[in-house]
Amino acid sequence: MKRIALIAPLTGVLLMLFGLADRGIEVPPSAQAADLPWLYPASGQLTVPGSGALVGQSPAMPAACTNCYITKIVPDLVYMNDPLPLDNPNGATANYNNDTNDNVWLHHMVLLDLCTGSAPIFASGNERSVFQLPTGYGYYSGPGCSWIVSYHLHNQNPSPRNVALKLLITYETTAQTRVTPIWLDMKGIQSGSEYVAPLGYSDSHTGETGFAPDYAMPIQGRIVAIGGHVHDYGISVSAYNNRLGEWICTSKGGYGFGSRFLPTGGPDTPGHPAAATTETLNPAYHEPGGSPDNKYHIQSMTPCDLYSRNSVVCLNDVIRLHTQYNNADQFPIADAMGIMTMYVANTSTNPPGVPDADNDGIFDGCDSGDSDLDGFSDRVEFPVGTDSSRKCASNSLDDAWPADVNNDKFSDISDIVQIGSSFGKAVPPAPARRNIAPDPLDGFVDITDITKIASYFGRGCT
Amino acid sequence: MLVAAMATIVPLALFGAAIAASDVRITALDCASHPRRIAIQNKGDAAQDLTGWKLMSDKPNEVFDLGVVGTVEPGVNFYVFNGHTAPLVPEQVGGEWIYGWNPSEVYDPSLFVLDENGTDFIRLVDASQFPWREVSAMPCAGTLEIPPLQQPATPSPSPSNAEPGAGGTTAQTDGNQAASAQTDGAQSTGASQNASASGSTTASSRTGTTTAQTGNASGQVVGGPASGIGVLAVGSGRPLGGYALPLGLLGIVASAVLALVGGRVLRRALRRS
Repeated sequence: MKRIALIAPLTGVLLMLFGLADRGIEVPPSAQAADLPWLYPASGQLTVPGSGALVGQSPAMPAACTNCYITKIVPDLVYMNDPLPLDNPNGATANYNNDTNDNVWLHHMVLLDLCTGSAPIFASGNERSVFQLPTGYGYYSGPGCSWIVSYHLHNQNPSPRNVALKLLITYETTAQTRVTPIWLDMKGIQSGSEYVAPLGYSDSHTGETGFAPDYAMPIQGRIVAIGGHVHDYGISVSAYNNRLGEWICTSKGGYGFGSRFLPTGGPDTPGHPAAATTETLNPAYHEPGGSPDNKYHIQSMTPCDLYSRNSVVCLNDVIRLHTQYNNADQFPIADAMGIMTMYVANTSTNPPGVPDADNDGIFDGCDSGDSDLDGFSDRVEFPVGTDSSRKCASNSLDDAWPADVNNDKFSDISDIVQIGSSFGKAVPPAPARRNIAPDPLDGFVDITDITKIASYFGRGCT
Repeated sequence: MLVAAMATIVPLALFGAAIAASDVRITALDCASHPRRIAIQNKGDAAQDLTGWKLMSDKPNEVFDLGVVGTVEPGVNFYVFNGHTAPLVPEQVGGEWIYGWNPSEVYDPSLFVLDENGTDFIRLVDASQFPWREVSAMPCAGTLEIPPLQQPATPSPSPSNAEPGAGGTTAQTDGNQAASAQTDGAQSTGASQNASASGSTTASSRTGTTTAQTGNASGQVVGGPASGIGVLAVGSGRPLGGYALPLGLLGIVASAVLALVGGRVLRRALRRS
């Protein structure tokens, strides 16, 4: 508890945005979902002083549901018992709202689960991105579990405003494939998550001086959702898997068109996009005032496309976080952040979504062993999409042997031609089925793939 | 009595020397964010040693000793961040240094020295010698007028941090000026503020976290325009630049009157004795 008390209030943390990512995974059937609003405080309100801030944390509170699987969370900051009830009725969203009488905003809230060692399970910044797991997956909230929410609110109006934190929780009561949240943070949650971004363009990453070390994955599994968070002037935050030599996710900030905070200047390379995204202004993020009147604060983060290869994380994989800012202000940004949270379905909690062909406890996507002895390791077969437990196709739709691309039980020129048709292309957009080498895979169809399949030329399988 | 009169006359006579130009300027000010932020740049062609220089806000205890900055090379920017989320130790980012003034990871509004309250401001003062020189100033948004700089009552330069025991400086911790300075400093400064009109108002408290500002003893007339005057384009307040000449003349006249009165009082006292 002491640790929670220390971390939660000190931490200038935050997080958000969780992209969908379910491609070709077999999942258990979904039960009917139920929605439940969870408020803090459960009754009454939080009063944010005029032209001030409110930083604090709740006491331990009953979780929104227990012995249940949370599949979606919609975060919000809402008015509650505000002194101006006609303007700000209970439940109305509190934000800049293009209204000088409004201007109460959510710097961050972080939800901690006391049943998991007070690990952060969800967080939201002012973007209020929705956390949404793919069908069949859920965050398990155990019996009797309690939550703590730490929060940091700002009020730029001279008068106090009364608000409440709101989470609209969707949950299932039938078993889902469980996910584990993994928090990735440029500075580290214990260090408050905030760092100083200089004037102009900057590209920072974990592992460099002044930042958190690169992250070593504590579990293996498959990432089913991931999201990022940056502040105003933030271009992007990206996660890179050193083992794969590949980007897992690049999430870009979204700003209303014409925003003064919209940053550009990135090199436009994988993981380092040239600019944040522009989108239709959400008036809730318009802070009125200034000349020109274009204070359109960051209002979204882009989701990520996860596919079979980059979604696999293995025990002790080294993950590096990169964050780009282009600060056009007159001052360094004191509270810059770069955070990602990934939700990983892992073998230790529920095998169905994450196969282990030889039952050796190592998820196929991470296993260098060859369970079916077809010449390709499990960690190659998993992203390629072939069956790690069988060496030969039973029909033309049965992907079993990586060297037999057309599933005719022979590896011959027709298979080489298929791979050759994607020669020189990255995966994606090239089909994952055509990237079969080296081991581990490199995400590219090239001479290594041709050489590998050629080594099986003229061979059949049984 | 004569001594008292003379002590009053000295600072008055020196008022005219309080105006000074400098290439080190406050270039930007943010009185609303967390943290509050002050940008300073050496716009000149020569390096400037900031030993004995200060940032001062509207309250007497709101003083940041810039001695920690050392020498600023031409063209170089540096920043002072104040209050919530200011760096706990000086931090170099993008080649530029950021210093913390009452830094804290925990939100505490009392640690802010700047607010958009209609009166707040920041000024840069060369207090390395007497009289102090205000070299730059800037108002917070909504502030229409910056009052003149108040000179210390004793004609002594601001001590550097290497000279413990002297007044008018801010103690520091690892180059940043501690959060507790605000509170403790207010107490020390309170003593200074309540000093008698004798002019011996220098408070000194080097407890490690104490801020103390000298001056403002009653009966003193001090002041000086800020280089940030130009920013104050609107408002009903008197243009600050207009204070210099009238106050200077007034000071001379007042000094003469006080000297005459003091002399008469002294003469009467001598006759009675």
